[in-house]
Amino acid sequence: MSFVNTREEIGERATLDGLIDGTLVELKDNILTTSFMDRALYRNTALKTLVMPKVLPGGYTFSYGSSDPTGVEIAVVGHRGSNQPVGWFYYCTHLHTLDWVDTGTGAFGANFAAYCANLKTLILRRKSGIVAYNNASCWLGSPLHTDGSGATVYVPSALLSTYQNATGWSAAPITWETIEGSEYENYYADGSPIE
Amino acid sequence: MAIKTESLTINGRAFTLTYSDANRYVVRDGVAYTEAYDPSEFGRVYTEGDEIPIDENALIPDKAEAYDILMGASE
Repeated sequence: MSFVNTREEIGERATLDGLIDGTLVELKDNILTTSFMDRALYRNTALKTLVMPKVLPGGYTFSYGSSDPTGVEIAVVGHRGSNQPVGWFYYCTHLHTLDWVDTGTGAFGANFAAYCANLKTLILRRKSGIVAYNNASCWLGSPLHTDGSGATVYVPSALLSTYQNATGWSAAPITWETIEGSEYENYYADGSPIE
Repeated sequence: MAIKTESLTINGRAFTLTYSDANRYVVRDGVAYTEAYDPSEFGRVYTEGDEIPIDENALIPDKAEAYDILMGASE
């Protein structure tokens, strides 16, 4: 059984019930701006798509360890402020596309996407400056690590050269693309239009 | 306790790896790195920062077990 839950179609209660009992397959909400608690989506094993561009994940939102409790494949989440998100996608081995809707200034934190073994597409939407590659543990075990298998990263065209010469990013096995002119210019990673 | 650098080549490009031999961050422009890979031509200089904390990963299995006990998870 699967649901496509939106605030308008089914309502908040159905979405909440789906989160609690772990049956939710997609969670999409472009209105909420609150933050997830730490470990909020632990054990939501059915969840494959998360699109909440204005919500901040908490620490280790999707995991509690190395057992890969969530099946999230596509995530569109927000970031703002100066905090360094720690372990938000730690061990999300099904995650292949992360759309980072970033209006903040903070760098990635420790274990941010560590052991996301299939993370092959990263979209960095911050326009005010680059997002620092930061600690080695951010990307350990993922294709974006210095020793990784390689991934494609989409960035604003005005920041492309800066990223290509930036600490950490410059040494990582990355294929750089610009958001402008790509499928992500006007759409989030799940295909929903950017409002 | 000192900042160390190493020269290496990645995909035909010269890089400088900067790190601390005292388990401390290396810091530049307000950003702290556990280690920093930079294209050598930029000559970036770092200062030594705070001690790198114990990896929270080491604590996660214990926390997970405690969580499971509290929530009555079945085996």
